[in-house]
Amino acid sequence: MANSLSISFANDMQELTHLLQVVNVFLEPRALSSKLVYAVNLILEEILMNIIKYGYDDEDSHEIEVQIGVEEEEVALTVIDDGKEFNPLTIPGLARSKSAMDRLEEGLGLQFVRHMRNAMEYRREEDKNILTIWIFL
Amino acid sequence: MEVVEKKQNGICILGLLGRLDSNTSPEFEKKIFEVIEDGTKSLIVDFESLDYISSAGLRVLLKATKELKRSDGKIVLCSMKEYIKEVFEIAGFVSLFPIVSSVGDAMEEF
Repeated sequence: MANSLSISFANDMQELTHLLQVVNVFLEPRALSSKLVYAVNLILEEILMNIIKYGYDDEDSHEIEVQIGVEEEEVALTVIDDGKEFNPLTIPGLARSKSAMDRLEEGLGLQFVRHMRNAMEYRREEDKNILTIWIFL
Repeated sequence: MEVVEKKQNGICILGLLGRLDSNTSPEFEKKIFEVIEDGTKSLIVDFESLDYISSAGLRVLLKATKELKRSDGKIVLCSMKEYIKEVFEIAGFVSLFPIVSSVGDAMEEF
């Protein structure tokens, strides 16, 4: 069984659904916990939705690459896109006092990512965002 | 994703099946707002068969509860998987919705 998967897809919400299906077919035979499979799906959806919604100023089709590696002790997710420079590590945490609506407006999805990942690394190379997220098993 | 609607003792129960994500949440939004526009004030959303929710689904629930509160209505959520409840906690949504363990317990909230 291959330990890694690499797929490219266009910046389109329908394509995102298809991508997550492919990811789940890859994860399914590995008998990972439902919580971990959920975390992988949620992190990918929130990160990719953010890129599709806010990453591009033009109407052109752009390729987004997703890599998943499953090792004995961790799952590594890498997302590479040619959108605007965006480093999710610089997003501050939300103040507890904020209302639920403010939390949604201020990127709740990325807060989920922050909460569920164990480590995260960002770099900008050749006009591309390269984000890697690790979830420990 | 599928939404199953039931009425019991004047309370509307929406059962969610499958995945509530950025693609399916517009469909759920349409359904829940239809029910609210029909005059429902007591609404239970049953998560028993829901496997997945993302921020897009939470957004719909927040909009719906704001709308219902205007007419003194209320939404109760029930039968959530532990990992789904966790995102409600991260989002601070546990203070906005009563979250109980079964449809029976949810009925008691009205």
